[in-house]
Amino acid sequence: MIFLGSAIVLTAVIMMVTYNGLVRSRNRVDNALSQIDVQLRRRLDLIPALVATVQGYCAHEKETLVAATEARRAALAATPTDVTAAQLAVLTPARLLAENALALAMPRLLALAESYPDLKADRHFLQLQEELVSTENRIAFARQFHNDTVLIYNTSVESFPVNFVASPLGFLSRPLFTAPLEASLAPRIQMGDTSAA
Amino acid sequence: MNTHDLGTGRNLRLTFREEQQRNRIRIILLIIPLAVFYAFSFTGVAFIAALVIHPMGLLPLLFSPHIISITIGISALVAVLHYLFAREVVMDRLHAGILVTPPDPFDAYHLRLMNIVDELSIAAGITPPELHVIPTTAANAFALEAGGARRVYVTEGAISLLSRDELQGVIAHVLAHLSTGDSETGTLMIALSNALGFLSAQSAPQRLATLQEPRSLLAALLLHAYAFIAIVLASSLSALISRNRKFLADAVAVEITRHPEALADALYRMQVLSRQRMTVACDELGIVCVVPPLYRVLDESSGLLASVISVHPPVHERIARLSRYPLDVVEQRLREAPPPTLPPPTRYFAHRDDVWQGPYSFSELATLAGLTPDTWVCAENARDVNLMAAAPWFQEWLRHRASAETSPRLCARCRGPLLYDYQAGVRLERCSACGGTQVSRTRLQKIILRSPRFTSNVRMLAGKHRRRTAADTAEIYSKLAGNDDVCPRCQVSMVRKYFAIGHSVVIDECPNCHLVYLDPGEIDNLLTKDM
Repeated sequence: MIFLGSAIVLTAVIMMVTYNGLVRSRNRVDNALSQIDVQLRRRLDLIPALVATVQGYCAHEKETLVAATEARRAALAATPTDVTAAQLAVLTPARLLAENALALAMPRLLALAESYPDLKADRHFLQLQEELVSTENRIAFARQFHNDTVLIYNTSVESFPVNFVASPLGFLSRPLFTAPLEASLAPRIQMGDTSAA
Repeated sequence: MNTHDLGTGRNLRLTFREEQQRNRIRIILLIIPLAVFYAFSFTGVAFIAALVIHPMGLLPLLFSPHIISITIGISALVAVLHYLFAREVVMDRLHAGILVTPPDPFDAYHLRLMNIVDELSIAAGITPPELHVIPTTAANAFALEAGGARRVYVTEGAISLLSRDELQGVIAHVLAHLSTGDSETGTLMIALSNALGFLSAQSAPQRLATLQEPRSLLAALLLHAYAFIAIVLASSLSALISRNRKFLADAVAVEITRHPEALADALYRMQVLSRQRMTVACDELGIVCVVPPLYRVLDESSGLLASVISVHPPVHERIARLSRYPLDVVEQRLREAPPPTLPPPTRYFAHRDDVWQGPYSFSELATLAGLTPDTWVCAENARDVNLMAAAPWFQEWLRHRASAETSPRLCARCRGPLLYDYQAGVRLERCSACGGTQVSRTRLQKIILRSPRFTSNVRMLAGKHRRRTAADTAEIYSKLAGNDDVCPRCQVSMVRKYFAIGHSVVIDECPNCHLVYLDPGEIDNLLTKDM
């Protein structure tokens, strides 16, 4: 009787510890996810100032400027206004796609400095450039941190014997964010080649 | 994207709460040696006091169980007090001892640094620490942590001299120290050695020269010696911990930035370019710095003595470890990098059989027979004609030429790459640069054995050839005099000699493994001789 009782208590304790561990792990993943969201928003805030600065030096490079502005508009449209939205809904595929397009428009905007020495020497531009580099790093690091935490979380959710109880309790494994640049970059280069030929 | 387990062996990214829990355990681990230290200190002081006052009566009393347990109790209490004191005061005291300025928000370099700290805090999953700048030309950085306050210090030299990536590596190292709790341990270590230093300074002989009584002088000297030994012990204890922790912090830094080369570059530049006195407080801060602030031979050497006394592992060893990081980091970065754009292929003309032939593409040039390093070549549309050996792509040409079927060994004569070749069913190695042949003696004998016997006509021609070679005897003997060739197998000097008695063919042979080197054409020459 005592043996049975202690076994039940022990099982209960183990279950409690496991459950709490899963909750902690899941919260960390959510936190990492929201960090990506924060950094993406930071980039959106940065672009108008950058476009305005570049415009002052090379207003006739309309194509690049318009492309950057359009990409930002698309990304902004895909960004949920409700910050308290459910965590997984924060980064929808549509938003990620728009953000990728934006990420591709940015280097072109910065590359304009190579042909405009005045722009390259502009203190304000240099500062914005540094901010943009930093933001890109932040996004990459936030993504990296997110993937690391997801990996730990997924491992704990999918390991035996937790995997039997995890999904009924609502602990579903989370997707990793793969580096999206290559996928969207490849067709673009092809398009450029055919138009040039 | 997969995460890279870079040998740190554990998950180092913890939430603030988990870090606090872990810190509690470490604090206890720190207080215990502190208590032991104080116990020994008190016993030592009491021993000296007893010696001075009344050796016979008091010394036995000192080691009674009561006194020992009281000593232990008091020591534990003092250790806890010391820890609390260090927690509250040390940080501010150390901070006040360093000349610092807050980062200037109008300085582009400082802005960059602030950005880097924020970025890496995201990557490491910690709250951004307080940032301070030390206005000195030395390049170094460190972090202090006590009582929940975290401060990162970076020198102006590091901010100005290092590139963005390098600075990122250095800050990642510092943040790694913070997230693994080394900074807190290090800060308290500094506090401990400070207390000992105070003791040592108070009992310094020159200070006590005023003491007239021999007994008290003896007591002071003993105290001084004791403090000195304690300092050595404490610093060697921290060194044992710190050397490994530096390697660990490097590993964690790479895990954060995924960029080992940048940190390696930064370490190299910080070590070579500007390692100099940072502040007045630099000696005691050495434990927490990224690179040792002063050059000491001990820091740069390995071995037991160095690892006991020195706080820092040799920088070259850290660089070596960093450059050994798993290939997948490098490979991933290569995959992310844009493919290199190739210039349009150049075509070449080669002067062969007394005429200019071509144009050849580079790969054709590499496979073309009869080309040697002293062939004249000319690039298409180029104005100058060069010897192949003088062309900038000569090494590449050698590699291409050798890429077909290459021997792992190199030519004994010119260290060029060796191609496998077959003669009479025997494999031998032919140098793609000088055209010489390399083969073991047993195989050479097989070739000779298997080669067809010659007709009288061939013998006559060979005889002519032999007479001609006889005319070159003088040259052969001069060749015999100087011989620098080294066997590529055994690294032994090869011996120049005749292939056999009565033969005028000169070979180089390794006295150890009997590897034979033959000059171009000599193998055919050998086969036409009488056996």
